[in-house]
Amino acid sequence: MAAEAKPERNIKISSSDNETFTVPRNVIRLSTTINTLLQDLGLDEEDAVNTDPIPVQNVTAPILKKVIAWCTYHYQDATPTDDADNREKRTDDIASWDVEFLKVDQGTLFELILAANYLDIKGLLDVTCKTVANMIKGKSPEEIRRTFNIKNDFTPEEEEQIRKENAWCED
Amino acid sequence: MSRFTARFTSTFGDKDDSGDENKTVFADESVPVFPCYNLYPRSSKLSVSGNSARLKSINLNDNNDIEEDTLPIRRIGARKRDNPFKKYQVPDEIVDVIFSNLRKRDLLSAMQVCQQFYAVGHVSRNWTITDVMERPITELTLITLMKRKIRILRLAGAKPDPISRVNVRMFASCMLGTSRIECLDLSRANLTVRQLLILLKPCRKLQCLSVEGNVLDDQVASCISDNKNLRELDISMTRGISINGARMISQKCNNLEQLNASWCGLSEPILRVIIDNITDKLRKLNLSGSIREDGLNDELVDAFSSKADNITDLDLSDNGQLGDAVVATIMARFPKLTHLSLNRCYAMDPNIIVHLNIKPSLIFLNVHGCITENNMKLFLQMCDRLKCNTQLFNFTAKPTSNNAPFIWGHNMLEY
Repeated sequence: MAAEAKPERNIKISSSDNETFTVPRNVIRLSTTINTLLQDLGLDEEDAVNTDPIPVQNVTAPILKKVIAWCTYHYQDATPTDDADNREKRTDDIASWDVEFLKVDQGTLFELILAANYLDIKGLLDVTCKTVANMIKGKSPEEIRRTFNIKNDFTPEEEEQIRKENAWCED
Repeated sequence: MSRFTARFTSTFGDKDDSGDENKTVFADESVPVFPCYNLYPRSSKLSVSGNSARLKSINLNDNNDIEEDTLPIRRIGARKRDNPFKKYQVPDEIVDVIFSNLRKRDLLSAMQVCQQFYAVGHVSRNWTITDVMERPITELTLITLMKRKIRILRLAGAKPDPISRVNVRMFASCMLGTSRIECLDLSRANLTVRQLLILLKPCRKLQCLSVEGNVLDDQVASCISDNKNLRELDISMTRGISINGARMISQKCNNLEQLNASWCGLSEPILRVIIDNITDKLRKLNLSGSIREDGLNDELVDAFSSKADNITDLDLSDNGQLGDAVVATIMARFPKLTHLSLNRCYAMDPNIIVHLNIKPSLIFLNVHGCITENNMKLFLQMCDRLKCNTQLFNFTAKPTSNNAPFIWGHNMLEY
């Protein structure tokens, strides 16, 4: 990639399997982890252009590629307001681009969640967690187990107890 | 919007399920000889005739782990999917973020899935505002709820099971616990004393409480009195208040801004205890419907009028002993009074009541039943400055008005 003399700076990051990606500074800003790292290490200075790529240890190349694609699409979004009291449990507000973007297999979806968590990309973490929440909604416990292939590790007594505790919510 | 959500999620779910089914069918047809039925004895897995093998190849069990053992051949990648939560060791914090997007009903389903989900769901912030309105409840339900991080709990009109009980140990541990509940609406729930104790004993931080229509014996009163920050208290239509109970509440809860003690059988001595402890923080007071012949009288009103300068809303309806002297007291005191109700105070002379028209602060005056129909027109003419008989109900310390989805300003709706 030819880095011209234009003010747009590029940052190099490398995946756990040592593939290097070049990402505009403005795009990678969405990752609080990398953003803080760059600021703390003083890599935002003008003369710090040609440095070694930043290793992103926990993320493989295919996932990192997707993460960068998401950031590239979303880097101009307004920063989400961090309101702790926001209890709107709406999961139907996922943007159509994100819906398409997240039409992936379960493994990829979960790897994206972990990557978003590791890189601290709030928007991506939100939208991926909402997608998983959508897979839970409207399902019985047994259907949820089947969806994620989760083993029922309750004893019959525990199961009965929990069912009684929560009976108030049934119709 | 909610309908859209429902449709969206159901199509989502259907798609996912059908995908699963397709895979199942495919797997079974392509491996017709081998039994997948888990209960089938392991030793005979290779010696089955065609027909029964076909029957037994119908997989009745969802648990794929066992199937793995039973199948002698496993096609690579065939319908076997790992539990992603386990495979990627998804930390509890992320499960918590996922759960924060769920409504209570879905959260409760998820909590029944496995131990990790239960543990995360139990401490989820999702419980901060919990609505159990008009739901059937048992002691076990209540004890479980009290252990969750609830700040605002509505049990209004809940249908308690009066018979089922938890064991002694569980009850005792609940009595020793503490709760962070700030707003508790128990109106019309008609709970047993034991159920009330489960809910109220752990509470120390209540700011708003309604026990409308429940039992209010000394035990319950003692629990209420432990909440010194109580600002709004509604004990209307309760049964069983004693002088002792009233003393505990009114002496310890001295930050009350709104008190609704209407129709709870207040006798003259109980009223005296309450009035003795009134502070100038009180802004709204409802003392309607005290005991006939032994309830609120002119002298008591005079006694508290001197200490409650900040009262804006006063309801003294249905107190037959109140006479013209009360009107004089109200005229002279309560400088901030805007809302006044004297409904069915038959001992008052309408000719005296009309003088309230010149009380500068007063805006709303409710005198339902005090004025005869013939005199009403004249009365309204004389009280031309006031809005007369515009309000039917008094909402002092009430959690909600007009069936709004709010209790004390907190929205109970889940989106």
